[in-house]
Amino acid sequence: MNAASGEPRTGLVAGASPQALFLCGALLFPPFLLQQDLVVRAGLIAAFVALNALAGTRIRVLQSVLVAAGIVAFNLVIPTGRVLLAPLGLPITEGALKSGLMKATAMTGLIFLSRFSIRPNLRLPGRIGGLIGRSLFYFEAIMSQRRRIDRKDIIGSIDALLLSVTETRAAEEASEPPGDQAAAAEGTTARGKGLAGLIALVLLNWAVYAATLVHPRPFWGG
Amino acid sequence: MFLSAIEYMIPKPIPFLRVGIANLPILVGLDLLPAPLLLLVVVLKVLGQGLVGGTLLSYVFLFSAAGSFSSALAMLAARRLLGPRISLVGVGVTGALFGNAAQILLARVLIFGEGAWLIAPPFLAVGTVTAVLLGLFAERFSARSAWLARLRGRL
Repeated sequence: MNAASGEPRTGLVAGASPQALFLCGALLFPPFLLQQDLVVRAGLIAAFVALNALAGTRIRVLQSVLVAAGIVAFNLVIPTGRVLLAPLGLPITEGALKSGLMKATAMTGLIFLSRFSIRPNLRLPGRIGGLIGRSLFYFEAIMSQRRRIDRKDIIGSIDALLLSVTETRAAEEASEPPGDQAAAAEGTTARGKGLAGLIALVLLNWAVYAATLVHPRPFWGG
Repeated sequence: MFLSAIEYMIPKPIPFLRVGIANLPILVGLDLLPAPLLLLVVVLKVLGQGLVGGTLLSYVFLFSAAGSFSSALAMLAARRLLGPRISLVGVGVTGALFGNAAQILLARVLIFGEGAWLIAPPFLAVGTVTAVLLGLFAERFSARSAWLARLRGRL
């Protein structure tokens, strides 16, 4: 990912703007969440992991797998439907397993999709969008100086940091964030490729969803 | 958002459940801002967390919004109703209990089903302890901060 602009530099989505990525994520959200076929859902999650890798976004796959396993385990606590297995006398029921897997895949898949499609430099429209932009500006200013926070005097050092950031606000707000300049300098060819890739992604996901509606499968698909 | 980033970095068994460190600005802002502006800060905090953490299109965002709004409304009600008779520690604990309860209810609906009640006791306990520590920190910060004193002078 381009550290300055927050835009992905490589792969299918090279040069795509944060707004385009957000729109892509918003359009991919319904077919993923509505997808009732667990095998297809798992495939989509693998695709989201690949997209994050292509976009250079760091995600914690192992942690997500552990969280998903925990969600499934919690759902198995309340048995529903026929018993599939009973290891160590603990019944694993079909309804509870499917419910757990659906919730776990929804949770992890949406996190991966969101990590791919939401960039910190996304500018939302309107007054709220402007205020968020200003908040992010402060956030970046504080994060860049966070080493000034002293464990021996936490309150005093945080106070000094906040005063420093507030005092330099006017000068720094007057200048454009470097990310916007970098974004303006991006090549149109890369942007075109990125947009085409995003449109293809969205269309493919909706097509897969439509296909599973037409040809639903029992248990894993039903 | 800085505090959200710190909270994000703390390892948790269930990452989407928040212990509430990022509630500190709301706690400090209770006596400083009118209710509409305080709720605007909550909106900015929730959206900012979603952008910085990249979770705007996920359930994590819903958990963050539910926890933040219920917590802020409870803290606001406690402070406005009880005034100086309740300390920032008490306000923080009230907010944590409401925020954590909202997240557990959401977890029951979206993630865990009935199994959510198993995580409720440890989650509420950790949230309460964190809220006590945050309340103590907020009391000291409010008393000592030159930055806050300057803000009070402007408002």
